[in-house]
Amino acid sequence: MNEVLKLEHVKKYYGSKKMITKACNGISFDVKKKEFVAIMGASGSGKTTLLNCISTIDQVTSGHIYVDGEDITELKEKDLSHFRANKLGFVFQDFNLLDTLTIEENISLSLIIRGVDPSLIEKEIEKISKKLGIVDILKKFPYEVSGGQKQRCACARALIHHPSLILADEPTGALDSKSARMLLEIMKEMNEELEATILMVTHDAFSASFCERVLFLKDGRIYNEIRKADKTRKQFFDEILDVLTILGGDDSRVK
Amino acid sequence: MLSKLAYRNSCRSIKDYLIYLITVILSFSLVFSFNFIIFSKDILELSSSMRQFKTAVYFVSMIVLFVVGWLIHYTTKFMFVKRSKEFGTYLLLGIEKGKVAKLFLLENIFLGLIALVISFFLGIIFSNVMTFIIMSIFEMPYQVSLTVSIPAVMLTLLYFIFIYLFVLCVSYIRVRRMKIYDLLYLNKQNEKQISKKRRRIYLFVSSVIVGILSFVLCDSALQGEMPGLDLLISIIGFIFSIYGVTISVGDMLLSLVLCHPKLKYRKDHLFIVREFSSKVRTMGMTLGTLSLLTALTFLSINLSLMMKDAFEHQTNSSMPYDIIIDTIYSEVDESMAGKIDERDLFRKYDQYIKDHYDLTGKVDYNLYTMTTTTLANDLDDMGVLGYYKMDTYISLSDYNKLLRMRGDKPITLKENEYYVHGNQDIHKGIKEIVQKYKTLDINGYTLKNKGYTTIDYASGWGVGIPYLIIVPDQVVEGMPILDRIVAYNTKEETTEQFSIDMGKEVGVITLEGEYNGETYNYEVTPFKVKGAFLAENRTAFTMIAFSLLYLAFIFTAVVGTILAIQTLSDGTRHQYHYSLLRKLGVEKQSLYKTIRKQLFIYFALPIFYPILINIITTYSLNHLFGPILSTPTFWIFTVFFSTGLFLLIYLIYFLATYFSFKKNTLER
Repeated sequence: MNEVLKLEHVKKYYGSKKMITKACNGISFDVKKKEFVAIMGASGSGKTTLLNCISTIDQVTSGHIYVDGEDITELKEKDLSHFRANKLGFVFQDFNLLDTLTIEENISLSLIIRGVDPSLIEKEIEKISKKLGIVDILKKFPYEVSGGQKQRCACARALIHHPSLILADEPTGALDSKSARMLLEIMKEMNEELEATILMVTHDAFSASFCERVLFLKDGRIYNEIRKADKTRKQFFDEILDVLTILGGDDSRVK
Repeated sequence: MLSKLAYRNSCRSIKDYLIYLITVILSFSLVFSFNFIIFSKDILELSSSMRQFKTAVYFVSMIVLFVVGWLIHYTTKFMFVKRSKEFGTYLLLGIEKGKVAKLFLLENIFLGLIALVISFFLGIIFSNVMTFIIMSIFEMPYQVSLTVSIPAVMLTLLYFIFIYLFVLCVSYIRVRRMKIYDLLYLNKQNEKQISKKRRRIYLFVSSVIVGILSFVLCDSALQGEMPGLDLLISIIGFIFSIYGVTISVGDMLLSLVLCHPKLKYRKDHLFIVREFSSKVRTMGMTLGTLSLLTALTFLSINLSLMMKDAFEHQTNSSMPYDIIIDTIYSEVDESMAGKIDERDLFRKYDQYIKDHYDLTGKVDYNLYTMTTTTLANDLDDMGVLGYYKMDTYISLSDYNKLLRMRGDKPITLKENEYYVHGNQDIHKGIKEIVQKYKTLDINGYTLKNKGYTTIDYASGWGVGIPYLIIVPDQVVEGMPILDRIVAYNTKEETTEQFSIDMGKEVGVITLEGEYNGETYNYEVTPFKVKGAFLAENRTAFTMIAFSLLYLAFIFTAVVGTILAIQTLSDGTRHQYHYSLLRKLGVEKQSLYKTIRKQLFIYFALPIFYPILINIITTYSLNHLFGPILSTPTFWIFTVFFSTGLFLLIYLIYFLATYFSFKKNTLER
């Protein structure tokens, strides 16, 4: 079984009986182990709702979500926390680091929550920060480092406990193009060398072109799906733009 | 438009600053009620020294005014910083600065007026309750009154206007001086990294040392004759120490945890310690002031308790029975010996007392002396003796009657034993002489010592006699009488009026004295009435005890409030932290636990060191008050009581904060 994530007819409705917003209207797809998948779509297409449902922050109206074969829509409150702590890693658009903790301590949070033996934590932090190139800033506080460094710290936090699935919500949204490119390369490395499975939500075609597979959402449904396969990144990027143009979405970066 | 906005903003503020508003209301209610009391005729007519009570309340009100003023000033400033972005936006939108300033002032005046109106009505209720308590201390009838004295209202209004004028002027100036940029980025200034960690550790160590030195100085000052400059220095030392320890303890704790990876990465230690030390860094001085207020609260309660105990002890000691008749007959005192028809006078007093009260007990006893000074000399050398410098004896049966009438257990003596009962303040002296004189030769008998006590000695047993030697009955036979005394207990409470009337109707005694070769006559009142004694002494006690408790309550409330609003207003930041922890997979229950721990440490900081100071200063104060207190260990009781009383009120603030915090951060 190499499906890490499997969605079956996931629906999420908001509002009252008279006014229903169908944020997700029957979405099904799966993500296999070691895959790097992007979800794209215009504002209001249901990207964030979908991500919230997968991360168990929100509950589905109907349908099932399986992570490592386990149906997370059936889990109870207590098990949900346990599930998030062990199976998921998060990378957010606005970094979500705690400003009172140093970078090192922020990274350690994932392990502390899982109750890892304190004596092992330092070694793990050293290992992961070497890979992500943030050894020099470990003792600093979040407000003393750049946005790109913060996001790499967030990646380290998401990765350190080897979760089954890493969820990234617009990870490059708050970064400049150089930092964004560096982060995406690191994520690609995480995916290829550390064998992390990543599901990334983005509206940015450039970010999406780093993935192997891109899902397009429109009005709460999957509109299209394209794979990189043997294409170069440039070709894949152009292909994504084509789909977006048809979608009527983001084409501002066509050059 | 402006007032509508101001109104809506203050409604929103009420929700965020409810605890603050309640404290301001309670404080003003107390100010109101104390003013009602000092302008109340019933109270002023209780005793002539009630005028002093009025002065004392004015003085205490000044301190309260200062502290409440600080609370309001602090909170207003705090609200301003929290909402600076909003004000910046108003300016950005083109609203004039003056108008924005006016808006903020209007809101605060609105909040203040709400508090004032509510506290006016609460004040009437409080003042009735307090009048009732005072009246029952004086054992007077009491009727609920809802009349409002105009001067009291005017005075409170004056206080109110005074505080608000000051606070509003300061905030008006602050708003006028602010630039848009400052306003937009003001609340980002909160997180300043202070890198002088080493300095803070030095500060901690030196503060602790100063604290210890202050204690040593204070302890020796209070043991000495006249505490003066040394006491003042130790007080300054304590203040420095309180601020120093409070400011630096966060970093101390942090370094401790960070140095031990095992401690650091266990459970939620890291998160809590980091949040805590960042809090202490940004508001160290405020927390220092809160610690100081806490220490003052303890001091107020302790002093109040010691006064109360000293008063009760003094009453029990000076007036162990309802009426005592003495200094009428003496075979030793030359001024009295054989000059008065004592039988007739005793009979007259006895008759007069029986005419006015039902008796529940009466003891007629003699104090004897051989005019020898064996024990007295030794005690006098230690400088502890009073008027009569001679050994005084009482027979065992008389002594036991006195004990029984006071509700104490009688003692037993063998035929060849003696026992000493002395006053608390000559405790050390008596211990020494009892060890020195294992046997005594008295009136032809040789007696062995059976022991001694200094607990519950009644100075009313014999005027000017600080200790009694209790001997078997046959020993005093034939001994000269120093004083003949009759003690009565009555069924009804005695009054001041009775004492005056008995003096007038039965008369006092006139004695002849001699000074510089001239003879003159002087009057002696040969009786003491408990009711008169209480009337003279109660005022001072009531005055001090009430004022100190008043202060203690206000201080506690201010400490609780500032901690509460500080914590609650950090809501948005905490909400963000806690929601992140939730996303990372922390269970709700363990988050509650983390919140509890975090708040607990935060609330414990301003009281931990003051509790320590409470213990050591009360120990030192005991040197001063010890001799007039009921037991040598009374100070331990006051430490527990003051800490307990404070914690009780504090706990209410803690719980209120905890539940609102939980609601704000997790359930929103």
